[in-house]
Amino acid sequence: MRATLRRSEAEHASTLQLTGDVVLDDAADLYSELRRIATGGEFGNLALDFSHAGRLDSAGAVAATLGARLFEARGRSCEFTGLREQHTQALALVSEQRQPVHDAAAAQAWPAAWLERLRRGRGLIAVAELVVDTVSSGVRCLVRYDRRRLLAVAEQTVVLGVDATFIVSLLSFLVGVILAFQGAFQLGKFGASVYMAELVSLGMVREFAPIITAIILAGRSGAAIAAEIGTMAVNDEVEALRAMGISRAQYLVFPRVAAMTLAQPLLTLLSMAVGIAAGVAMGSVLGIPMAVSLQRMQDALVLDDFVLGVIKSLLFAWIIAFVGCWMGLSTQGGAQSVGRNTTLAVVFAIFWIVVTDSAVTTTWTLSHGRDAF
Amino acid sequence: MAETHSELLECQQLACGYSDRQAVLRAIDLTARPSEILAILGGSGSGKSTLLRTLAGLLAPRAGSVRLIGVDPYAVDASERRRVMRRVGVLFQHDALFGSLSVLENIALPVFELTRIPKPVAYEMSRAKLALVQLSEFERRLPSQLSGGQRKRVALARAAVLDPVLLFCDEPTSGLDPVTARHIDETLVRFRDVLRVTVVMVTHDVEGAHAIADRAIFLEGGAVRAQGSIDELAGSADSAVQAFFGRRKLGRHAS
Repeated sequence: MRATLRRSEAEHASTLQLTGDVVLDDAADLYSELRRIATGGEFGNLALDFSHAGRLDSAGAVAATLGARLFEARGRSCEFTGLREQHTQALALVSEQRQPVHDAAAAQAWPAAWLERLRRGRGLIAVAELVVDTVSSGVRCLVRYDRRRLLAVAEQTVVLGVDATFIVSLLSFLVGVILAFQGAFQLGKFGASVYMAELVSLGMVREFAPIITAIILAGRSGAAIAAEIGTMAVNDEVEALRAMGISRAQYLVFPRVAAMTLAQPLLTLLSMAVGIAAGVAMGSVLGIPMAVSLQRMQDALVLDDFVLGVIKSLLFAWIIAFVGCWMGLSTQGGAQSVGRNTTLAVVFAIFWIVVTDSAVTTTWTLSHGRDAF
Repeated sequence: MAETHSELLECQQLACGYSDRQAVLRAIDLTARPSEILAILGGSGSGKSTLLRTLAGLLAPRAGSVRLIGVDPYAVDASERRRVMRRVGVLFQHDALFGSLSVLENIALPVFELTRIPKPVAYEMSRAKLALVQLSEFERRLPSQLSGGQRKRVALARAAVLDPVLLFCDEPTSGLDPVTARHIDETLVRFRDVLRVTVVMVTHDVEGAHAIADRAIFLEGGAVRAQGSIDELAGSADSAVQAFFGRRKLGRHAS
């Protein structure tokens, strides 16, 4: 396409003559040219001359039409002249004034939609309903000894928990080593490196084992739960369950929550054991005999410390499982939505794990008085 | 630039199939002329969709050649191939809309990705195509909020948004009720008449093909068994063609 501008001073009007095909490849240039003329004050009305133009496609027609609207918006006119039948047909495609239609069903941007749902309390109520449904499903399943559901729980326990044994052990070992190393060195400045045993044992049992295990499982199992259920949701499988009258809480949520309830405390106990063993081993490398470390640990630890660690691990398990399931079930749209909700599941789970840990540690410590220290 | 090729699509001695299997089709010769609707008919498993994918530049032929707008898309470099493929639209059997994008964003996607057209022009082009498929009021919806027929029409609008000279449609009316199927047929005719698009469609829908196709080819046993107008095919003396059309007729009466 070639566009030639001719200006008539007398009529304070100009003509833009188009030559050749006005098609997709020319649309950007034509629109830019019309915008330049429309925004430049020196030209008055414009005639867009198609008499020498070849084929006009919808991209060219849109560029010409939108360009003409720029003139109209400035109180000037842009007329199309020399149109042939094909040009008229192409322009007819875009000549209707299409106002954006208010579509009540249109999807809102996710942060706004989320905030709105939370503001109205629907999100929290829905989560609470899901928790109640899941608990009642679990009770029914145990009372009736629902073998199919219990098998699903066993399957999920392997996938969400047992398969995480290696990574939980490895990271717990490394944390035990780091704690022992740092503890022995820092306390050594005061000649108290032997207290490393108390630091490692109490630190692992009360804090590090529950929280490391929780963070690993939030990133691994929580994300897997959200992605799996989210994919099912966008493929209408969750809708299909509803259509068949199958409870999503019973079929999808309960097996995962039960699996996490079983797996997380056991993995936390494993993490405690491995972390403590690593601390003892590191202590012996740094010159603290194993027997001394083990004796001091035995003196320092009481049953309450393990109870605290296990209580925390149970709370974290429920946070991971319910957040993952809820994020999965609330997935709408397509693949992008699955990715976004999976990420949110991990972020929310870790956030609430840390918040819960702070609350439980503070409450427990204050309620157990000085003994807790 | 005006399309100067008298045949927009041409293939010679084409053999096609998936690489790990034997060729599904052999020695296919066919052409499609400007502004015509060419229907590819055949029974299930006759290789219609495989042929369409090969013709559309999506599946390399096992032998022979394909020329789209005068260019063999399998023999040119990547930039030339992109240039040719920009002039071609494909409607997939299962619509292939992006679930996370709104209807308007789905249609505008090729414009944003393949051209430097400004945003207002791109959206207006998309709205024009949406109006053409009579779905203007659905532009802000997600694909999951549309019916099957509506999704198909959105996919058609997306395939046509860059004003392709060639539009390949894989079973455009499959799974749709007769009224919606006729809407799709009418849309394809509008594309041919208004946008001067050449449509190559694979279909089982003999009635639809009869209503809109200028020419048809019938595939059977890995080759083109018959070609011509639908009327010519329907009146063919070939037993395989008769069996195909006869079965359709029986089905229609039975229903």
